[in-house]
Amino acid sequence: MTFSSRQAPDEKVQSDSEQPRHIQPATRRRFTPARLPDPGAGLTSNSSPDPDTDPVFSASASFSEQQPGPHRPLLGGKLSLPSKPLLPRGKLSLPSKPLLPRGKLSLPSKKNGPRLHPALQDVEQQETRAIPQFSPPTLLATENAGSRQSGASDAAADAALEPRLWCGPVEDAAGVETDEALEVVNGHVVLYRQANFSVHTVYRPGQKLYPLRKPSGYTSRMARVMPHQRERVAVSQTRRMPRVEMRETRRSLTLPVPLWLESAALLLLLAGAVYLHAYNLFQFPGYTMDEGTYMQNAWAITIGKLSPYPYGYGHPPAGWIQLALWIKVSNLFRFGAAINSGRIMMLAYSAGGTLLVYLIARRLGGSKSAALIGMALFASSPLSVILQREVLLDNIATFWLLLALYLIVVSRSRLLYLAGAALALGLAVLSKEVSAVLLPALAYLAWLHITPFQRKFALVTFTYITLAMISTFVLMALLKGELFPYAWHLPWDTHPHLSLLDTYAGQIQRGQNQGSFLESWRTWWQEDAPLTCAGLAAPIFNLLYGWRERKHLALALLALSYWLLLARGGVVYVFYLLPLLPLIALNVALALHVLLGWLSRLARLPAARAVLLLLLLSLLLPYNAIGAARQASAQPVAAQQQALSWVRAHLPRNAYIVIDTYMYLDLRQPANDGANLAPVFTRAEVYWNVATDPSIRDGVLHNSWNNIDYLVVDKQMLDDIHANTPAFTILQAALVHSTRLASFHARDYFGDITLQIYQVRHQNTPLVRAGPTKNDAQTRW
Amino acid sequence: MNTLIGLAAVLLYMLVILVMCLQAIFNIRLNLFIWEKPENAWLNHAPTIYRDPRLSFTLMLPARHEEGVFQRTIQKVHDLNYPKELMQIIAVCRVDDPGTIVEAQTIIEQLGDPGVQLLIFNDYPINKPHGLNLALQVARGDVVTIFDAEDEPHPDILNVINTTMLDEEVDAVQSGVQLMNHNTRWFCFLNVLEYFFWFKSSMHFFSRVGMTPLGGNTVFVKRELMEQLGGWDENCLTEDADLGIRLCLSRARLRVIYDDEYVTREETPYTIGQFIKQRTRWNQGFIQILLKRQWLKLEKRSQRLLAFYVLILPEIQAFFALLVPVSLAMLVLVKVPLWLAMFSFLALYCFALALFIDLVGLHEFLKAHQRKWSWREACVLVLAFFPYQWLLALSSLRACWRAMRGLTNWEKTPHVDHASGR
Repeated sequence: MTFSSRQAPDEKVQSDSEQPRHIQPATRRRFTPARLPDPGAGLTSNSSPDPDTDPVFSASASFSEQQPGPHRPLLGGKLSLPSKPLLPRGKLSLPSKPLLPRGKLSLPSKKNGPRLHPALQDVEQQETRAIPQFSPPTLLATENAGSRQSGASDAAADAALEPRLWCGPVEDAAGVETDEALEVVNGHVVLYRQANFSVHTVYRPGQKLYPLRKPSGYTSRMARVMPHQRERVAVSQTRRMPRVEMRETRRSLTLPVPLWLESAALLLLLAGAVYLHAYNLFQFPGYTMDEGTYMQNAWAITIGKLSPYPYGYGHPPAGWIQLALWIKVSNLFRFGAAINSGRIMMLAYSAGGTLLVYLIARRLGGSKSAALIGMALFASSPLSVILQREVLLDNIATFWLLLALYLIVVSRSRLLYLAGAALALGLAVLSKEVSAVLLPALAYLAWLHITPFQRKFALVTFTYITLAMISTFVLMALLKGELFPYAWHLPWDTHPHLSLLDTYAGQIQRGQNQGSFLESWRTWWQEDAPLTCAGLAAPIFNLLYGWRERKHLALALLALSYWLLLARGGVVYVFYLLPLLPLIALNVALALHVLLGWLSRLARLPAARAVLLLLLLSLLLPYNAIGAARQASAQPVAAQQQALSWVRAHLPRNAYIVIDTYMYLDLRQPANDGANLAPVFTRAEVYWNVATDPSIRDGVLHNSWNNIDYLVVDKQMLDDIHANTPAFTILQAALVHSTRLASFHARDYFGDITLQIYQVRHQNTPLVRAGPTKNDAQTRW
Repeated sequence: MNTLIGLAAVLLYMLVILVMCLQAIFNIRLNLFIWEKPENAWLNHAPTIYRDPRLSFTLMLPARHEEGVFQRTIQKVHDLNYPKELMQIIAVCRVDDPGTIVEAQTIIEQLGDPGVQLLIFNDYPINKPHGLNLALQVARGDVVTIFDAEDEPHPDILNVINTTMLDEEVDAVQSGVQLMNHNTRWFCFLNVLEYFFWFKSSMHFFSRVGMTPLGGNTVFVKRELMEQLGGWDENCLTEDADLGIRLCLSRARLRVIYDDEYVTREETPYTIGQFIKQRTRWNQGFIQILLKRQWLKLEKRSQRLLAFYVLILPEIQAFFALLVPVSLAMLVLVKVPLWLAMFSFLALYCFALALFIDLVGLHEFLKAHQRKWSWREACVLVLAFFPYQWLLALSSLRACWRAMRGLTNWEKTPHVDHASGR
């Protein structure tokens, strides 16, 4: 009987788990007497190849002694490890004592046992050189050597079955053995032979052979290993160090401010900003055509269309999709007129933007007081108080731009943040396409905030996500078959349609007659001269200072790239300044931080910077707030609401009314007008579409002013109608043939608002009549 | 009724697209894991100051019909910078492969080092894990490792592993394997990048979760542990991945090193046919592991989920690769609502991002190995992107078919002068 091979791993596992797993020279895997019977434990010595002490090698060495020929010291000398004997010698000596503790197991004697390699036989004789862990002998050890001796056939069978190490030719039945026991095949010595495989190596007389070890057996048990994977510490370094240093702004800690104080100040300022923006929100400024357009588009989204009229690709729809989500959550008419609902949402966006300006400035400049200045400047400027109330795509885009900026700034080089920033930036561009001009500067900012190690992947991801989101706008046009102009007569174009390329080509060619940079500049200057002035000065300062501090450069580039867009010579409305406002505030905050820092260093008063900033804040805030509140106290919306009520009260419901966009939803949707449900005017149409949409002008109205019943006009409408002669002829004619029924007037900060309601004097009965509507029964016609 | 079926079809379609996107994004995340945070950069570090050699290594070189390269492989492995007393090199051949055996004997004779040994076996099954298990029986090193016939290990790899294993309490080290012939055939680009991302980045994610399918070579495992585990699974076609899962099950401490300097260099299969055969074997092996259901014993749900994902991935990818043309055809032929059409493009956007990441990966790979960037090659990569997915899909389908037919023989991938030992 041989050692059962299944027993071995069991014992080994046990002893292994008892032993410390530290890898130390000469102590690791030192074999204890208890492990001796383990045949698998033998040849794992890793540490000491000293031929004198390491039994593994001593065995081989003894083999070489026997062989004639030059001694080739392949080992030894190279490793300087303690040449301690691995085991206490007294206990383990061969062969006077049995090799193995168990009485039954003993090395077979040279005469009787299965034949061993001469090297092993030598080992037996070397009493002083203990080789307890040299397991090959134990492999061949049998429980009862005697029985094997007696049965020659048994021995032969065993010899065939059992693995034999260092074995020569198979022993014959009589047990005769040859002295030259090494099995050499083709000049290669066979180290190990089993029925199914054999191991060969080179044969050189006098060469030291390395021992093999015995099989462990095939099991499917799980090893017991200490689970310290997570605690391991890598102390190593590589030659090619990845560059992972980050650009962190030093915090200026002149005034240690506790978090609660900071939060309290922030919340107070934020609440003030929200109040300033919410003050008289539904009355000032007057509803504009743009606000009405976006609200009616948002409503169209809720019924599954991109706009109530054919969508002309003027702006990507993401802005009013957000509005649509809001009016789905709230209610279109919860705050009175439909536009009021949108203004509530703008309030939320501006509050979020204000908070983000603070957080960005604090992270970029490392100064809380500078961040407060930036935030106050952004929130309380009369320009922002007026413009941020209006339901404008720029307001939506600005929030997402700031979010992208914030995510980049706080990313600490995390890819996930950059991906988030790219998503926000994409949404900003999809809300208002002009945000795209900030993409290069933002990419540069991202470049600054990512470590060189990650830069390549991070920037490609960032740019890709942004561009991919923008491209969905083009994809949408492509899928709708409205990307290319109909004028190109592409093979699949069967009917006339609007086209994205047409629209943008038109916008690029658009002259400055609708609004020029200089005109708008005059308004900005008039509203908030300090901000407008600083809006140029601070980016230029930061551009110069950017030579030293790259983050200033990035901020300056952000503001300047947008200034360049405005100054390029195209149409510039007053509200185009909106995305620039936070950028100006940030630039001013950082520039002031640096300038006052120099000043305080000059005066050798470290706290002076913060004090001066707070002083500035206390001056700026009341000045701005009072100015803004004074402006915002006008009530121009009153005239528009009166006109609306008058229409509802006096006009027949199936009348064909030409209106401006801000009345569209209030007239066409069942709104609550006070306690009653307001009447619905199904044939109220927006003047711009009446004049330009062929399906309305030629289709519904047959290009005849006679089919129009009423017109509700304001100043801008009149200007448009009279300015665009060929397209608006039908409306001009209608106006000429109409009588004024009512007029409404209100004072506004920008100039007064006048709404007039005209009735067309029909030459003959209008040809066009809508089919009977639900309201027909109540018609007062 | 008709509308109900239509609704169900739309919902199913959306679900498929959604799963496709999630899979693509997760895959991108795996590929970019090492670049996700600056801290992750240190995960791959190999030591530069070596400790004195202390651990002994048994290097197994399984080979079958490798007459062309085997001598060179043994020579290369023998030339590794490490004391020869601490190295045992076992070339593993089967008796019916006399050509390789003669080659091995010749080089063993030349080297004259008894540490270089040739194991010849004659029984079944004829496959790599069986040979390895036999070699394990006679291995004497503290650490066992495998090199395939065409591998080019770094000369210092044993020093690196010795230092790592001594410095850090680890039981197994997976060192990077990298295909190097990135521009020989059109499918090589993506195959090379697959290795690049897999070993450099994904492995660390797997290791963090605690479910690490190992690579086939340059895996260093303590011999005792290997014996306790009972060696390699001889019935599995991808014994390496199986071993990885079993190591995780036994809570072995695993370290992944991918230092561009120390990667073991390999070659891609030489022809498309061989590539598909190799992939088929891997995928079939994964199916075997999946059906073996040992992965279900993993402790955490995240581990089990990841194991399931990795093992089922070839089939999912095959399904998606086949679905892309179908989806495109549907867009052209069937009139779908705008939002649904836009939604289907979401998957395409994810694939395009993966493509761009691959391009950046190519740049990174070329830079790491001091090779020149070429726009022509980049174009080839872009053009090969989808055909490569279909190649993968084909091998995956072939694997399923073979698995169902019960064909589990070892389809070796011989190379012309670049033969691999698999």
